[in-house]
Amino acid sequence: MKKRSDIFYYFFLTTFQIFLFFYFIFIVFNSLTNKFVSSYINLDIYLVVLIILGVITLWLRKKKE
Amino acid sequence: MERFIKIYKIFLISIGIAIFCCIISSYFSFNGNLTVSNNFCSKSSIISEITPTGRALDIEKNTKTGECYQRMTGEPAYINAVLPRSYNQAVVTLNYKNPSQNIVELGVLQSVTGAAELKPFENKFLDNCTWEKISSDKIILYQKVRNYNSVEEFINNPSLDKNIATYNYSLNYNYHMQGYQMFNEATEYNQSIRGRHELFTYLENENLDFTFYWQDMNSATADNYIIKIYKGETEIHSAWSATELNSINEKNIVLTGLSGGVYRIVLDVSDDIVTTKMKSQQHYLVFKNKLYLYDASSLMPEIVSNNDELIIKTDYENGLQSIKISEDTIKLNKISTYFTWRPQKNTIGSVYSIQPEKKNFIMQGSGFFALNKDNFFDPDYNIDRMKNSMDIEQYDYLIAANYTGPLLQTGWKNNSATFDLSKVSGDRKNLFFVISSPGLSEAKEDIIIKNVTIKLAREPLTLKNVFNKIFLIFK
Repeated sequence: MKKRSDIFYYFFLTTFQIFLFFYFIFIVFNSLTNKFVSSYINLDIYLVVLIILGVITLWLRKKKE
Repeated sequence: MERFIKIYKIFLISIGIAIFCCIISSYFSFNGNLTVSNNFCSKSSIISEITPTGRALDIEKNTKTGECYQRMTGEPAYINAVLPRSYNQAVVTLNYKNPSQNIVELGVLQSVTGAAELKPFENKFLDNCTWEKISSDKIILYQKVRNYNSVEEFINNPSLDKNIATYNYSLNYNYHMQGYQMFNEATEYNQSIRGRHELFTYLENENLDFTFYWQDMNSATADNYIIKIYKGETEIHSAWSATELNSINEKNIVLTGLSGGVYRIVLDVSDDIVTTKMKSQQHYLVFKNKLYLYDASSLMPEIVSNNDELIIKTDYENGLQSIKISEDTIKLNKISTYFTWRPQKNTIGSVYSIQPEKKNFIMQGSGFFALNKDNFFDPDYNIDRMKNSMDIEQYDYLIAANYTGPLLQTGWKNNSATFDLSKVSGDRKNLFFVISSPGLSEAKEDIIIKNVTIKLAREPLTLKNVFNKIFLIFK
């Protein structure tokens, strides 16, 4: 049985990875389409969420070790 | 736990792919539709703020309600939409407040430097009119006193001795001048006019006989002189003449066998062309909407006009002057600046005298000008196009077409205008929508716009359409 902190770590790691993956896709598509994506998604807020997810993931990893 | 993470991964990726597909679908408009909006709270990459600075203020935010809006203080103002693809139709919806202006119109620029096709957006004269109302096939008729039982009856036989105001509708009628007598001698119109002008003349049992004299101010390239003659909306004659540089050019037009009535002559020339003189058998001659006097000679015209609102501008130092209009004096003391004149009391059918000190200025309005009071006649009888500053109580009939008033929702008005974008030049990916309301800069209150939504439509991107396009490329 894994510890609760491990579950949180993998949960946040997965979320961070997928958010990062789509962030790159959106950034590339946004620059190709004359900022069309940014009219639907606020990429600045997306980046802030991504950074927060990254920090939490790193903190959980440290805690796990 | 690994299974849970796997399911969670698939769930998140599916959401990401779904969002990405929605954006791709909007971008390529697979279904032929795209809806974009700007609520002014966050910056839109597709719909701009209202421009230019000076006619629109900075975006404001109501901290209580969280609503963002922009004030329009002058006109025309523009909203730019940069689209990923070209579309055939646009429905523009505005959420706005308009406390002061009677008429607001919305348009789309046909080209960046061209004219706008304006559509009715708000007309308070019609919205607040309590007169007898009848409508038929998108045409609405208001009668102060009921004399007609149907719109068709009015259109077929309008009371031309009464005062009629039209909006977004052209009333067809044949102008007849009571007691008209033709002149045996030719009349010379010796004032130089610059650029495009629309002239109206009247004749009965005689030839239409005009001779135009002109020269090109540009000594490098010669522009053509194009004359078009219309009876009603039908073009009956057009003439084209090449311009010889550094000399006075001449073109005579004689049209025989014409029926009596009003004829419209369009001098379709660039601003480089100055028509130095006109000679005609027709004694009645008026200029519609615009008169650009351009001359260095000292012979001053005795201009008369039935415009109840004049916009005057000069682009030259030697055009700065005081112009006496009726009882008032307008001082043109700044070049390239518009000066507005309105009569202290306006009565329908009034004709005002205009006495300039010099020339080199342009006058614009929504009526007619004549170079001499003897040449003046009003081809529109007392039929006026509705405008912001009119006194509606002076009219007997109001007729309008294709007008739907705005809806009032929680203190904000909401209305839409539909535009056919096929007339817009270029690739139609960079559209400029125009908000027009003459007289707004002098109004006490501004127009406040809270939201702009544009619904765009084109043919759907089906496999059949794609193959057809590929086929056309290779063909």
